[in-house]
Amino acid sequence: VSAVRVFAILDLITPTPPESRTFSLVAWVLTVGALIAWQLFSHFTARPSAGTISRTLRRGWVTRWVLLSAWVWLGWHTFVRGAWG
Amino acid sequence: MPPLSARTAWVVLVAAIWSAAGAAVDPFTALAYATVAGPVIVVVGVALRSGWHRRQLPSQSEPGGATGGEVGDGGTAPSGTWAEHRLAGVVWVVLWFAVIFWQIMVFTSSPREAYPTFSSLLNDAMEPYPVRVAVWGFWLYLGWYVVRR
Repeated sequence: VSAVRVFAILDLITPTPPESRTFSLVAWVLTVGALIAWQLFSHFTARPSAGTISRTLRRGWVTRWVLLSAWVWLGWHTFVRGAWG
Repeated sequence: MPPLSARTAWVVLVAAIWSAAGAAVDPFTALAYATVAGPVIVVVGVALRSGWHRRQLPSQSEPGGATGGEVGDGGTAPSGTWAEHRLAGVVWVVLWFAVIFWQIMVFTSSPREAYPTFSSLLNDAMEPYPVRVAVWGFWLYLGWYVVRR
């Protein structure tokens, strides 16, 4: 399955949000903000946090290499294929 | 808070210098590949040295090993019952699903100006050099965090 076909399928199954940068930014702030707030709450109340998830993933042979691959991809995508300036 | 060991201080210093240098490199260049490849080689080397190529990490069989039990961020066991832990897991899944779902929605929409993806927002934020240094430092920290024991 080509990347173009995957893109087309995703486009079909996901609704199109209102064409507004403000709306998009608010949605980003809400979703990422909730994630950060939950991490802080979990950390300070000693509940399973991102650290617990990371440790759980590192227990499995496949999941630990997936985690490392995600880190490599993040660096390559951000710094090699960046578009700042 | 315990004082930094000499080894840790050296690692932090090298990471800071690498972040400052990496942030000065333009993307889509051979140097960009090299600055990313350097930490990747080091981190993969540390992972292999820690036994990542084995089915089970060495520390898992040791009582009280760093990866052996349900240990919280600060080295303390998470409190609460199994039901509370399961609820926390469900909240994590729901929140990550929301972020990924939104990313897919904006990624498949256009124009990008109205539908910024996480990457496009990060690119905008990374225009000032100090922010790029900070993002570089955070990425190096994440690499250490993933392979730490």
